Amino acid sequence: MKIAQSSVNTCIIYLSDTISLTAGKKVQELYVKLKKAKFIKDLIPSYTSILVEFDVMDEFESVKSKLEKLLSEDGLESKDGFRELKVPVYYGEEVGLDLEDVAKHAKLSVEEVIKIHTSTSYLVYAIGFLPGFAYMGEVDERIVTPRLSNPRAKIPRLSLGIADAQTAIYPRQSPGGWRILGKTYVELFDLNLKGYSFFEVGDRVSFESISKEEFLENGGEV
Amino acid sequence: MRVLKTSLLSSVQDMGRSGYAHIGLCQSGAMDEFSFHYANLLLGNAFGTNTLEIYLGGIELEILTDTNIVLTGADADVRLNGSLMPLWKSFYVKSGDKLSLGFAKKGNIIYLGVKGGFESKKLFDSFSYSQKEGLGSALKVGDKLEVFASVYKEKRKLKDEFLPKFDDELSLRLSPSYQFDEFSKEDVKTLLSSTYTVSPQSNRMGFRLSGTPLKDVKKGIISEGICFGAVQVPSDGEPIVLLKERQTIGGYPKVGTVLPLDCFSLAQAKVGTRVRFEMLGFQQASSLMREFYKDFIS
Repeated sequence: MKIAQSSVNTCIIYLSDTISLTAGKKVQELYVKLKKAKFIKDLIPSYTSILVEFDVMDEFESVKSKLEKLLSEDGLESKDGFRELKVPVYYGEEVGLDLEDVAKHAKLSVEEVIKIHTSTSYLVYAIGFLPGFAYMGEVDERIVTPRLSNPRAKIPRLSLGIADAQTAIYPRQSPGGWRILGKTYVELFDLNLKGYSFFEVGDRVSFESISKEEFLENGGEV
Repeated sequence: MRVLKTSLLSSVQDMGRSGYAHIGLCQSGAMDEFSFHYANLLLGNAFGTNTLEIYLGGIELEILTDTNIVLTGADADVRLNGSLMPLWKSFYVKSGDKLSLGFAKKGNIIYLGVKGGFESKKLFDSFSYSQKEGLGSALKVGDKLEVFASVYKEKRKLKDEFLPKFDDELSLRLSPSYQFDEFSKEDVKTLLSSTYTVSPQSNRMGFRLSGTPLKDVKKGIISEGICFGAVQVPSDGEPIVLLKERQTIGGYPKVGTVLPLDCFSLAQAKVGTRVRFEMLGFQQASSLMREFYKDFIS
């Protein structure tokens, strides 16, 4: 664990040197604690670190000692920790633009790819790139596939993709190189959502394969 | 005010968003806080009141409400009903007046402040337009900006000694941060001894600098939160100073963080401006920034 100043009003807490589920859980636990601290203005949790923004009028040394105090306290509060979310996904060929390529790459059938993707519980490691875009891992190594070498100019909103060992859903239309497996109908970033973002760092997420009918009935767009 | 003619990019900006970075919303906000805060100070506005941020000038507005305004930032000819008006000095305008801005001769951004700020819609606690996220919108011809009427006439002027100089050469004070220790000694030496120039690929997200590339740059790091002024070095080895509309997290190594005051000057630096880096410890950097903000926060 290391706390280092990163600017006149930010510092970064490193909790690990490598990405792992353990590191991700540590980040989530500390994030829950820090959210309640009044001296903190903003937080950016990521895979192995948390960036902390404080008031520019505060001295870094005093912020650092407050953080150290919080870090040394027992993780009593961490139990109100994480949420478990289930996201419905239509893994159909008209929306799963790269399903076949991923299956080919994995030397598996499309059905097997879907089964593997839906039988893992993923951890939200970080949110960024786009508002509400959640980086989740780890994807089962049997279906790990690299990004497209030529990213698409437009990926339809709410498309679910994988890139190496990560999986994510595009909250809105965007250019991108992730391999698209399917699509959900759940809004991921919206002013009407509590906290605005469907996902939060530390969430445990699983995907549920739904039929085309169910997808369309709930407002899914093909 | 009604927009009769727009510029390259004009938008309402305040101090940007704080408290939403964890869900991926970027900070946004005024790129040159020096000119932004003085605009408000010269109007007697509260700290952080929104203003118009006008890129490169060339805008024309019709005044619809009697009020006080001020223009700060880049050097451009400002005309009220055809008569030349001073920058960095608040003045009174009346309904029916026409305000026109020439093109910025020195600097990039002009701030138009109005007494009490513009009445517009706050999104995530800020009036700031964010292009990347589609929050708010840039000014278009025909847009109407609501302002508050004021009767009392403001006439405050910034002392000449405080006026920004917009030099052809800019020094960026850099504090070691993030992956500084992982850069080779030779690369740090290159960074501190080279002269870079502001690249045309610079915008509200960041300013790209062209010059001697760093040689031994790590391909990527574990993605982490990025602060204002962080100097990112992608694999081509040329530094990018990340500014107000930067992404919240990123996976390129960062060699240090530029003093915010120098970031404000950089935002005003035209393409081709020569830029050099010099080291400054965080303690000094922090006290310089506290000194700066003290003048504006009462």
